[in-house]
Amino acid sequence: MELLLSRTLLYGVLASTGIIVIGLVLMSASGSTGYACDSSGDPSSCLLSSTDVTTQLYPSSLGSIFSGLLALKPFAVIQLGVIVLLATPVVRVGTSLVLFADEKDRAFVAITLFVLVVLIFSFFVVPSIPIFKA
Amino acid sequence: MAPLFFLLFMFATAIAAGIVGAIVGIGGGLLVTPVLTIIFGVDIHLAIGASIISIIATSSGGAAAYVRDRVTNIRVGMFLEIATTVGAITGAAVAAYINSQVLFALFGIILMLSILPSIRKRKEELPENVENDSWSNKLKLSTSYPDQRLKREVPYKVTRTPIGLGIMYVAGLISGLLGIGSGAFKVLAMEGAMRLPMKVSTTTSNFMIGVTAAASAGIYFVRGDVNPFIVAPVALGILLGANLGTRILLKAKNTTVRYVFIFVLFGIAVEMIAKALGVGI
Repeated sequence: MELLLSRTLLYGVLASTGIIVIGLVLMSASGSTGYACDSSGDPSSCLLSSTDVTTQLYPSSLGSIFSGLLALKPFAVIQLGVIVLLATPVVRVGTSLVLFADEKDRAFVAITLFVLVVLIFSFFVVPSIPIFKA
Repeated sequence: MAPLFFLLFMFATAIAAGIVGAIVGIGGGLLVTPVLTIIFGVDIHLAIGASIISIIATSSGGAAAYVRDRVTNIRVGMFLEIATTVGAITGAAVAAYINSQVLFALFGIILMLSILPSIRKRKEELPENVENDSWSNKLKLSTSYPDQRLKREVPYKVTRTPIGLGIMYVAGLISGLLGIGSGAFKVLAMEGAMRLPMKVSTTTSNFMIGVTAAASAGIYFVRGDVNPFIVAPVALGILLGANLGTRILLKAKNTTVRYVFIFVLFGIAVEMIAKALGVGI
């Protein structure tokens, strides 16, 4: 159980690191972020919140990240790496679920399933409820 | 200010945060957030977004080693996560409507008060006279862990599980509301209430904080609180730091880990009270 879990975490972390590094390399190589802020000059414009200005500083929805990736925008690549990182705890819970099921531990299958459902709910359902979108 | 300066500075800060965070079972946010807001004047919402990412990075970065070395108690962690995840979603969802200053004050005071019992226990390497409660018997939470410092397998029991569950809900709530700081509560709950050995408490907390943060991360992300320019060096630094931190913890004494924890607890409490008083960190 332990080895599979720890390997899952490790691969997730390595994938996330790799993607973020690629994004940073793209950013320095192209001298731009693909969005409204200028990372080659004074980066104070890049330290702003995306809701502050009308032009998009960085993508924060799956749709905008996807279209940014298609255009190979560095910030979109970095956000992808971040999402992979955000997914590692979820994948870890999923792996635990499979392992507990394999051990036929009913109580913990139920417990882990509950946690997994709550997590998935938090990623996909709650963010789309308008009242929570500040 | 050159962009490279910002990236390298945050990278270095994040490494330090990751090392400490992986040892005491908290997220790296406590060091990253003030540096972002005080030194670089970053908006607090972006700092919180970076903090959530820091927590997940500390967790996933450290947990790989702790789980493999069987120090983390996966069953205790998973069970308590029922409470933390529900708390985290509730907290993150209503975060925009709550006056956080009151919460910071409350949180800071509670942490300050928690330092006293921790200091009293400072010479305690392993907990004594602990018996399982009915929950831990039914769920088979009690087990043992290999201690590299003591050079033996250490069996331990788990008690007062319902209280632990309750504290975990609050920890999750705080994490969702404020974006930082629930790791300290988790360690206090497991070590203080449920009487787990210190290293098991911090490593299990490290395992759990990632899930708690992930439960509120989605909401913060779509709100635009995650800025890739800030998060890239932070995530990378923390992952590296957490990896280094795990090597230190595995070889340390439980009492050493507790000393570091008390020190960090004090730091977080001061930070919380500063925020409560309106100091924008």
